[in-house]
Amino acid sequence: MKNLQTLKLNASSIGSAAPRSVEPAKGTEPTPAQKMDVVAEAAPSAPRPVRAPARDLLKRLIALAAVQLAGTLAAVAATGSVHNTIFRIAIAGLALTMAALVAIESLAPRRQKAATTAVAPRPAKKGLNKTRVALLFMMAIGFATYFGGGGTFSSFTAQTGNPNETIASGSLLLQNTFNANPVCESKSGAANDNVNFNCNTLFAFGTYGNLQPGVYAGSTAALTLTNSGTLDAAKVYMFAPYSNGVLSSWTLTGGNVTQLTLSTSGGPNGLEGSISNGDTIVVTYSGTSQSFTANGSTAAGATTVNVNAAAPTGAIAAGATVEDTSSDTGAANTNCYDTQITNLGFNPTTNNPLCSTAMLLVQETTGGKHYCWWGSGAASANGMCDLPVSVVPSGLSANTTIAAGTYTIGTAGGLNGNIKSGDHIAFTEAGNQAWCTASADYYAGATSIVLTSTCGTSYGANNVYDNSATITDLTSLQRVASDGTHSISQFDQNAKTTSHIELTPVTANGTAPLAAIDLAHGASRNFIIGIVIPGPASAQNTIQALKSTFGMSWQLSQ
Amino acid sequence: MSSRTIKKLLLSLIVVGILSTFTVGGTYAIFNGQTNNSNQTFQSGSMVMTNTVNGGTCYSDAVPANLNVNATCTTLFSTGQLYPITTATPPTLPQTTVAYADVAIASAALDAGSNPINSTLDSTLSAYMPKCDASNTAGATVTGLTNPCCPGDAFGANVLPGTNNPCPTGSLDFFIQEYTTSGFTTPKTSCVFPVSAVATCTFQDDELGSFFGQYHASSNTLSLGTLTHGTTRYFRIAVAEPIDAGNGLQGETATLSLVWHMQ
Repeated sequence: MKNLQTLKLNASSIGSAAPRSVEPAKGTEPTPAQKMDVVAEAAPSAPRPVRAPARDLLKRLIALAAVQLAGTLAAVAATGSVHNTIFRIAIAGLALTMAALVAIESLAPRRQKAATTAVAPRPAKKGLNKTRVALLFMMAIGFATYFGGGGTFSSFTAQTGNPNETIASGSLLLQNTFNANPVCESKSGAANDNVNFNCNTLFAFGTYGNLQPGVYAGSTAALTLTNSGTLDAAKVYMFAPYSNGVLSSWTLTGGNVTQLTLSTSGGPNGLEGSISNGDTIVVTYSGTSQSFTANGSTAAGATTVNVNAAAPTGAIAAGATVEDTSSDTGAANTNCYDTQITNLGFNPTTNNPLCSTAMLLVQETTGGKHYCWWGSGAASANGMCDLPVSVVPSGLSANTTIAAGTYTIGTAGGLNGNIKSGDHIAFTEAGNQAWCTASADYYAGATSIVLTSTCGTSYGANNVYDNSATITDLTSLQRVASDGTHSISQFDQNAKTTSHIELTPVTANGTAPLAAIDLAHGASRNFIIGIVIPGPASAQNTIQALKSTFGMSWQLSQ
Repeated sequence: MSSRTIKKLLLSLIVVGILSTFTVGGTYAIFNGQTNNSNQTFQSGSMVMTNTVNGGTCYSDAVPANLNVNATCTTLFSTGQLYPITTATPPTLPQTTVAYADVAIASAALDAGSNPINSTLDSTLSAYMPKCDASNTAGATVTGLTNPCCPGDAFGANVLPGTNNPCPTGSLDFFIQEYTTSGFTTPKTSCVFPVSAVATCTFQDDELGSFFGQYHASSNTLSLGTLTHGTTRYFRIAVAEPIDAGNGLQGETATLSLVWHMQ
């Protein structure tokens, strides 16, 4: 019964074509659905209609299924989603074949089977009647005409053609520009995969001098990301790369890869980060990837990585990216790594202490609208990271006393950080420090600030300042010092490749709602990136004379 | 065409349909572009110190476990018995009437491999006296019982002038004079302590108590100004019995420590 009921679902569409062995009595014509029940439950003593052999029923159903298949394919093609000529012709052929099968099966002579019991002479089983066959043929021809090219039966024709139709895929290309350095293009990456690990360093060794805790050295970089492709980017991501390097070559032993040699140029200088034994090492080139398993640990900066022997499976070439996808899980295996500038005996690099101490701040400034994406102050309402300032004044005469008033910033580019309303702004010069209170919010780039009369003297005197003074934001430095969650090491662990930060468009200071497009083609977004070593009260001698090396990644995606 | 064959045909079509379902998902391309700013580097500076006095040299980083603190540098002076001076003008060397210690403080040290290194950071140099213990001089026939560090305070180890700050009068004379070179001959333009615009320091009453009273804690030190990385500054520390020393200072000993701090 279940099978019959299942078949009934098709009855409405096939009823007119279904052959009937015996005409039911007049006035008791069942509906198609009812008909099946009658067939199954008729009393054996009554003159029972002769049932069609199961084989015939199966054939009819197959024929109808074939017709339905052809119809389904026609419907799919009619949606316009199929433009392949071969496919259309194939459907036409299929439709005609189905029609021929129907005709053969319908018009073929039926074999009679001997009755096993005495029953009324059964009329010879009829095939489809001619009218039905004709209708099926017409249907098949209709399919063939639809797919085979309508209009060919007309004597008069008119036709226009649009030749040379072409379709082109768009592109998502990312330009990465740091300060006034040359543009770095994603398409120029050695990995030949629209991934470029060789963009300019934002923070170069020595550029900002030797940093010390609690003293902001203006260590910021201005970064511009541009979608230079032809497609809008639905997503813009910022994330920390894994421990990575650029493949120079690999060593084959018995046909198996056993060692990866990393380049010292064209991207990270050797291995950026470290690798632990058993880590998964993914090598990617031009869309082809192969995974290996690290055989032993590899120190940061090394140029060879031993892997368990594995046969090469794809076309990997020099320039491929080498990533340890098991990294960025703890302070010891982050992309950021420390090395000693000088071995002082008390400044070990175990667990990368400088990476774990130095704070990273990423603030967007696109179109004068600010948003703090990472760092102390992240997602603050006014869009400010606690990016300290370190600038000089201009226009101060000798022996100026710091008091309420307007002060002009003498540093080119204005403020190199933010000042929040109410912050204590200090002037420091020759062993003297005096401060007053900021009257309003001032964003990076501001060229003057207004201070209120809430002032004080930290040490020394307050009548000794001139344009040699250094202006800093004492409160901002305190906020950074009390923030324990935005070190570079924490960026590596919490914003790594698999947990990237989507940079949604900034619509107002501190507001970056979800949007369909994060970066339209041809558009750019601007960021300030800062590094600060906070200065808590306790000594931080263990991070003396260390160098941290790290990377930052930016991605456009559909 | 047998029904079995047709069934197989239909089943194969179903399989094809299922395969299509699974493979179509992988045929949609995802375009992306990625740039990476590798090799970002920054470095922390270093601040190490060398303390040279009386021919002895010690380095702040001598013992790694002490994290750049060395509390075992050479003793400044260990005098014989001092007598009240007769003039406030410091005597020239050689002399035996006062206690002198010529100290060179350098922003440099040795690395872990004993190679000379300079600090890379400028610092602010400061000094403080965490300890000035009073005791009776061993073998003294007379003891005046005045605390030479901070009169009125108890004798003994580690007594700080917490309740006597500033210390009352009656302590020893004390000054810190800075010189321009290692020859300790040309004073800088002002006396470091007692703070004076006059270049040459002089012995003045009660100044040991004044210094100990004010600068005995690491949180309150005497700022000596900037010590540029890699440079050396030269200080003479002087202690004397006051010209008008009272008998209370007879037979008493002051044992003091002086800490030099870079920050």
